[in-house]
Amino acid sequence: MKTYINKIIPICTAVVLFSCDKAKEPDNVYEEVTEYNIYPDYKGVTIPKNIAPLTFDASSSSSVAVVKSKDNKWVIECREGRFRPSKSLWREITDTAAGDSLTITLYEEDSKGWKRYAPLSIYVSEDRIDPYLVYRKLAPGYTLWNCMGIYQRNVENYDEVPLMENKLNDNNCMNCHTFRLNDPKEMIFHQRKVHDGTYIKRNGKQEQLTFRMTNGEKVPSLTYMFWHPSGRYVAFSSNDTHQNYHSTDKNRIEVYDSASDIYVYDMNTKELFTSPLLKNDGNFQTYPAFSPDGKSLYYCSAEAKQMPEEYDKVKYNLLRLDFDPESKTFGNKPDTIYNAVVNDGSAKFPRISPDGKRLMYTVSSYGNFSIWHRDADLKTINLETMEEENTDAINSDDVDSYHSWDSSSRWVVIASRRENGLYTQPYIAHVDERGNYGKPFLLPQSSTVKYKESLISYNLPEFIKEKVR
Amino acid sequence: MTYYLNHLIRNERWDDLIRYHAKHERYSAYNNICLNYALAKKGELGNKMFCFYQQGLSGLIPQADKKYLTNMQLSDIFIATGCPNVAESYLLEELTTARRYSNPRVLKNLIRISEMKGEFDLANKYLDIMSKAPMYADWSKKEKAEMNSGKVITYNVDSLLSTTGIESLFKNSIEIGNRTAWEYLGASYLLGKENDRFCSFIKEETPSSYLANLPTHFQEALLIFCGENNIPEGVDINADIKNRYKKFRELFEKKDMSTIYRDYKDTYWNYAINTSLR
Repeated sequence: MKTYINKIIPICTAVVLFSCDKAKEPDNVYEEVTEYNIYPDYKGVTIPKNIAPLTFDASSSSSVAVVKSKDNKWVIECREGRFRPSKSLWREITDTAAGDSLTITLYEEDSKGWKRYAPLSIYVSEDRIDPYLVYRKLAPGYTLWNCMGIYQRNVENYDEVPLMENKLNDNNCMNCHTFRLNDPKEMIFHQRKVHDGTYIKRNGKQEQLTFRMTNGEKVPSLTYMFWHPSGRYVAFSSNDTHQNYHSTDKNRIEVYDSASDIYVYDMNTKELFTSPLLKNDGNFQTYPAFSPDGKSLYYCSAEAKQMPEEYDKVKYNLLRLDFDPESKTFGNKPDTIYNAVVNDGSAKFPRISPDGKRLMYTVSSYGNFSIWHRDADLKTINLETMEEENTDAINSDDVDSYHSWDSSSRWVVIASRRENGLYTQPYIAHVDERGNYGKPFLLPQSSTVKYKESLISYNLPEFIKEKVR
Repeated sequence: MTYYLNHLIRNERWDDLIRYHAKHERYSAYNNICLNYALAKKGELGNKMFCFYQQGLSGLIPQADKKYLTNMQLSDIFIATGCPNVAESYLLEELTTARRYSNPRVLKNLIRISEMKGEFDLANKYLDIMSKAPMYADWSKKEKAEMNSGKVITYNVDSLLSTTGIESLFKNSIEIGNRTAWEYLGASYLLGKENDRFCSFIKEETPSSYLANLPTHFQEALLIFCGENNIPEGVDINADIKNRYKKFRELFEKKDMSTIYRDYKDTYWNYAINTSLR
């Protein structure tokens, strides 16, 4: 009986407390506030209707938020100035407002009465986003690592579960997780140091890949990879990568290749094959990416330079080469998509939207490891018109680098250092059919201070259509 | 002992740290690095370092070994000598391996570095984290209030460390007026008994405003490296040092090493003749 009462009392207390928690829109407003900041900055962003509740800090004291859609209104109490709607209420709001804007008006109370903040607007897109985002979390050290893991985050709520943590594999380094066409059933990643190798998880089975060269040469160490849409091939680059400190530059370190080539791996024969255009001494080739139709291989190529002395003279072109998956042959001449000399810049990370209409890539003034380049920005080419789109809305004054499309081609995730210049965070941006880009929003977290208090980076974000099982 | 020294450095008790070493004839390289750092922080490295036991370059700048105390020493020295990127590299490695990715002393140094580089958003992030630690809450508040008042350092030259080295790093800092870097570089030549490099350091790397009043040990070194009649232009050797050097030479010619050791223990001359480099 005692146990029963012990359980009942807290439940009843909670019911009473929450019943009393019905907030009302304040009416005795004595001041209008037009200039204010919220953290994270969700003012004017476009969000998918299935995104987790946005949470943000608005003020230091208790306040009330009035959320309005075209036909509805919700009043939410913000304890300690934190906007944290419940998941069910948020879902009701976004379902109601989908395809339209909603406004959030904040009220803050002090001894004189209520202050009203100018309404902030958020557009709720009907375009759904892939429900899972996979990223690696690690501290931004240069040569050492400690705890590290690849995690999958449900973007419809706040659940984050590890796919692989290095406490399970002798504190090993793991990287470059990649999926075929946003499909969680097919994933590849590398492990370094101990248990080193390239591992594939496919239809529930996991194995270490074995490689041999078609010409019998020594198998190179493989780095960046990209699936062919058929699932039969994976393109790899092999990079002789080095790292060095800048003595005084704003870019802290320089990661550069002193050689790099591209190979394609045939899952059926376990063989790597290449082309003289993808493997030659005169150029550095890296960051391969297949088009969604599987008939083109995009990659970056720069004239080889004396490294590290000429590190800032290496500028990568973005090229496209025909690929015939049936005969495993490449075209004879690549098309130049981005000309490094003409544009006086360096392209990397080509990523084609799954609908095949857009090619997004990163540009900085030189080099290929843009997460350490503060001038790195994202560019997009419309592949139907071959014209560059205006991506100003998604770029910032700091690093905007690795990016990945969701399967609908309407959302893109960006690894950006815009908040503080060092810790990489995942920002999500909307891209409409005509190539209009929305202001990116920071992946919502249950706690409004999660990013502020975190000393880790979110690395290599990749959307997937379902949970990895 | 190591942690006691670390405590003194953390609390910037330079006089206590120097006093502690005055009582000891011999100590470890770690002690030596702490002592020299304390002297540098007081602006006395070139004046007093040879008043204490010195054991060569290993007692000035530690070899990186990825250990916490070494990383902290390296970051302290490189902050003092105006090399924020290098200092930060040791701290980020330290933060990576620290429990729960955090350590107040590491964060404190990272805040200093971010301020030096004008990265105030990053400094604020670290300060917000520090403000949650009860022992650092007040410090964080004070630091935040003063943050934008510090001078942001801007450099004229950048290079990759693999293509240069510490020497050129210090030279960059000297160029923008960092006297500690200048003293550290000069001290490194003295400890390494690099006669020619020290002389050209005085002639080529030393700002003209420093020449008339060089630190005591730098003057002592010039007397034996260049000779009394070949002192670089603009350098003014103190009369007391000249007189002392005359007596030292007489004793040295008489091979009276015990008197030299007794009476000239606080000079570079004693180090130069009595310390063998390992």
